[in-house]
Amino acid sequence: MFRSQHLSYKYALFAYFLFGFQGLVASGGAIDLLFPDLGNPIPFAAGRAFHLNVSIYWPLIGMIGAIYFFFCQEAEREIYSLRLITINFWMLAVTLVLILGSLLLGFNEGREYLEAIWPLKLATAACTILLCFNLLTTYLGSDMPKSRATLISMVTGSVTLIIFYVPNIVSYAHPTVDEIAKFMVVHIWEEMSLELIGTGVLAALLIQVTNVKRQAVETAIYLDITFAVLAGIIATGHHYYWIGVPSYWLWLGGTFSAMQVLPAIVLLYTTLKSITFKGISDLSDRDKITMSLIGSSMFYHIVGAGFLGFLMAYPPLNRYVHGTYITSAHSHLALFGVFGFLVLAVCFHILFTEIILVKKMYRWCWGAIISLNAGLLTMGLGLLIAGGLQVYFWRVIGLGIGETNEFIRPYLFIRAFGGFLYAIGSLTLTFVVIKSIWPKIQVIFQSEGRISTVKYDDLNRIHGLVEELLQEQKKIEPMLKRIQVLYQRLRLFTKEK
Amino acid sequence: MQFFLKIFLATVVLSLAIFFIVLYDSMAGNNLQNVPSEAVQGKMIFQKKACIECHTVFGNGGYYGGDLTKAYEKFGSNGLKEYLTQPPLLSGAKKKRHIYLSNEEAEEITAYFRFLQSIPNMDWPPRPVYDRKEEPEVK
Repeated sequence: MFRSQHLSYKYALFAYFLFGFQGLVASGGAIDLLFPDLGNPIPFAAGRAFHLNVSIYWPLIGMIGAIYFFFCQEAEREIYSLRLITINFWMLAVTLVLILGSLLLGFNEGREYLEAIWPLKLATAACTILLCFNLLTTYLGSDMPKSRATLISMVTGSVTLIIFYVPNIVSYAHPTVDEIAKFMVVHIWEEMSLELIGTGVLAALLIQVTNVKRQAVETAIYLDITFAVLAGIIATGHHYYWIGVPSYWLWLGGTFSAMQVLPAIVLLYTTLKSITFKGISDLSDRDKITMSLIGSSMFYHIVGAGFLGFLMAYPPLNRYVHGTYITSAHSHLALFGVFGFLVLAVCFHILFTEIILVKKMYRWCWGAIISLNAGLLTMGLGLLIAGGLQVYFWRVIGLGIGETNEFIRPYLFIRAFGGFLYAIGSLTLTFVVIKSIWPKIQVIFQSEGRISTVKYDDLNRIHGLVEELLQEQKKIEPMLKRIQVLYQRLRLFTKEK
Repeated sequence: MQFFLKIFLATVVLSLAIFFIVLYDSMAGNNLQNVPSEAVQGKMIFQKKACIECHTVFGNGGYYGGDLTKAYEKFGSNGLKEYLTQPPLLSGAKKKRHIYLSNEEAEEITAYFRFLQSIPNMDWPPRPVYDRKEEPEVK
């Protein structure tokens, strides 16, 4: 293992901590919306801004950890600067803590998802610059083929993080320009930059876990990332339909959004091609959890992001469904469903590379995954129905906001119940991870060295070999008995003689 | 793989070029009107009070408080000022009221809503299907 990989543990652990925390925060917000008189100490606006910022930063932090972990593995060398990996982590962690603290204190720039004050956005941009510098220098110094698809997708994804974040450090006087800039992060980060990084990380993980041949997936990765760029950037247009830009964006946004299902299909095809049922049954317990989280991510990629996103981006339909809870359903299914599950998968894999998870904890992990999926689907369903009713009441019969809110309240209860299930899942999984990691916490944060003398994959291989040996023993046993009988006969025969 | 790399890099460069050129075209010339200074002040208040967490503008934001893109047309200058300076109870609440604004703040935020109203955004949000004949067309 590379030392860079040890340094990425803290990213994965912090991502899990934030993910567990998010379940609590979001449930509080859903309850506050239903019972405004409860006297929540955190104002709703501050709580929602907090929720949105955690939803952007926790997958980002987890994904950066995954980049460091898999990039050195794919480049087959250490990351250029080990010190920068640690500096990058603390910069990101402190920036996020300051962002969340300042939001609670009421420092809010009033732009959805970009509520942090500008110095903290500058710090976020600096973090992405550090990441890119470390990756580019590692890439240039690597002896591996420069066209290796996993390296290319992770580097390109990371560089585009900066390009599209910088215009958002400041706010603009014209609301249309504000919206144009905002969706460079809200859309392009998620549906292009993180898609590229996620594809690279996922491919590296599949190559390691399923032992699929690199050549077999290399072409598919290129196809996937080329489609992701082609569709992802210009499909931003579906967020620009009604913000005051020329009408040609309806055509551009509609056409390129329709193409956005292509990378999802290629990714699904590549994943299915690289695994077999027998391969799955032979996987270790840890890899079964990892693969089930990846499977969940694939499901939401096709259903939540792909299919629902495809329908919603069709301009004549978007005109009516835009600005309702249907968008919220889509963003939950696409943001957490696709990237959340993927980050959980890779971070789980990373954290339990050297640390062995106790057998009985796996049952809790399975329960948490079921609870997360049930929660997310219930939330999505509640929000879809609430949004559908908003479309009917606002856009068809012209009812007011207050009356509509009364009608959709039961479905927001369903959303809150889904959030409750989700929170149970997120807290359980986070508890399992933190409890198992806790004895090694000091090593993770203070040392660059090995945590354990045994790698989980090696242990699992030895376990497999012992199993095989025991199977063989069953075959050998009757043979030994026959030999023993023959030997006894032989002894009797010689004695008689 | 060199061939695939070239195709991929060409796609990145071409997509970025098209995206930024079309964006420039969307914002250049007279496509975007100047924002009056009072409306800029109103936008600052809108942002400072984090109104976007409950309301949407151009359909983007919080979905519980309704869209404010055409709020000026719907409530008028006086209606908006009255609502903001004497805030009513929130829907579903018996104690919690809408955020309070001073007269000056209400004046400026109304100027911002007046400006929002004037942005040609293909008449979004659409008028209710069963209301169209009764209400005047948006210019």
